Amino acid sequence: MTDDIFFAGIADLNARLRKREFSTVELVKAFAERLEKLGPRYNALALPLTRVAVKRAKLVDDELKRERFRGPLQGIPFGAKDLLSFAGHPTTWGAKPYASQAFDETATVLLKLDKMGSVLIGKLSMVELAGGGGYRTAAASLFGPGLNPWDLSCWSGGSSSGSASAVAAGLVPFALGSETSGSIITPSAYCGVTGLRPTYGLVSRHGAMALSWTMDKIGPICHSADDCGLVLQAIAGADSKDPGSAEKSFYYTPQFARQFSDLKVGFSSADLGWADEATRPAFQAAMQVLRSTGARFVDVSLPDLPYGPLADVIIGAEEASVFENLISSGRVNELADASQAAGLRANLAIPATEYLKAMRIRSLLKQQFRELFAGIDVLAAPARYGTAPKVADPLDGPDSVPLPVPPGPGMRRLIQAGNLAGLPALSLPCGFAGNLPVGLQLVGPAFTENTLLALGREFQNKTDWHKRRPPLVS
Amino acid sequence: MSDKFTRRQLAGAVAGSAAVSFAALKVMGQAPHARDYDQEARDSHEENSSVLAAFPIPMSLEPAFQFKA
Repeated sequence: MTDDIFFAGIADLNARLRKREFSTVELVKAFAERLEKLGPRYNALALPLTRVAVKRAKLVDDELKRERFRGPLQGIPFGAKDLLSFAGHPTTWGAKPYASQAFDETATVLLKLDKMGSVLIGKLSMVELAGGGGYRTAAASLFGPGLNPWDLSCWSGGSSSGSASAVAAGLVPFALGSETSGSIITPSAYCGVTGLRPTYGLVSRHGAMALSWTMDKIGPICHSADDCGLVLQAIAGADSKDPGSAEKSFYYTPQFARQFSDLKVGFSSADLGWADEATRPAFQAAMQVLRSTGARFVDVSLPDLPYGPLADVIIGAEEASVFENLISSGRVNELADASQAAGLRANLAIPATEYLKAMRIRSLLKQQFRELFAGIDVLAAPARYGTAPKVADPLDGPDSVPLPVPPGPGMRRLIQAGNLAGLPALSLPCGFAGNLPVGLQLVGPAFTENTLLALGREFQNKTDWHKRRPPLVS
Repeated sequence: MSDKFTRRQLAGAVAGSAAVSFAALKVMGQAPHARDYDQEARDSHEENSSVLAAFPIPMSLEPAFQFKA
């Protein structure tokens, strides 16, 4: 096997397994050894599962020999964010107070992937408690700061830090992450990989750490939009164990995608002014590529709503309830980031009336987004308006206001807005600023993942940013 | 030279801000006070509260309880 397999797509790997170019055991061993060797370089590895994985891989090989095919994920190794329970093994939620925690049950998404013949080779690092308390340093994790494969002095992003850096460095073909308010989109953009945040309720959260019951989502981080579609098809679906389940399935059908010339893409002309200067050429070029698909572009504005306070209050109140015992017991002080502990303590004091007011405004928000999407099919915006920050820099540095001040707010609050509305989003690598990746974000109405993936796939047919490899591992 | 000013720089330029005092303390060799994260978190909550309190909504508007996208 050559190094190329570490950056190969899922369908390619599966085809080669079926042709018996290599066995599942060989593939799993190759990735697992690489994950164990290089994962610590990026603080990406929470728990290696090599022995369990090789045992599982032997069973998959038996099936392949009997020509019992289970689909394109059969035999494909993967990693999972350490907020997903895997029975009998530690699930730390990235936080010291839970360092020795283990569950008897396996998360629904891991069971679904197991059923498809995918092989879990390791748990991946994350920001402690998915960062809900409001972390201010990259070091807010039991595993240390997530390091970016493109530049080890920079952060990999959070909270799905290890999931994104492991995919970027070719340590796993794909990984599962989770997002409450940016935790898939941000690390995907910073690490130059493709990340999909599914519609709220499309993927079961049973067996995942709860941060915010009304906002948590689980989704794939992969090398391409195509791979995200294949993984989403495997993990989506109704689950009676998840009260938030939308009871819908998902079938990845790029062959039935709408004509791109029928699509209306909403964008904000103010966005370019808000983006860091070094990232602007990449965004400009990315918008040109999107235009070249034939899609029509419409200048739009996000509804004028207090997205930041809404997300703070809703996530804050829900996580205070989830972690009430941790906070009351004082063990919250064991968290690596003192500001996160303080945030959680303060969240206990959010009044019920304030939470309800936020949830009432959220009804308005959903209604206004339905109205916005009556005139467009997709929103396109920078995934992040800058590149990955330095690991040593505080994450709450002062906001910079570019001069001249852009003519409007742009879509800088699209991550919070999209999460509050429960909408799907796709982050696509769209270029570089210096040595660091830049990401483009596509957002659509609920349950339009196929449209986002088709447009993302077309974008990746026309570009090769998603095929670039970090220098240290290429 | 950067074409951007940070909010802190703008604030400092307009009035004698905390940032200016902070810089002065550093020059004088005195350690600035350690950050009080609890107070910052409470301040942030107060700010959120006032923003949401000032947001007008109709009395009939119900919370997004049955949250299905």
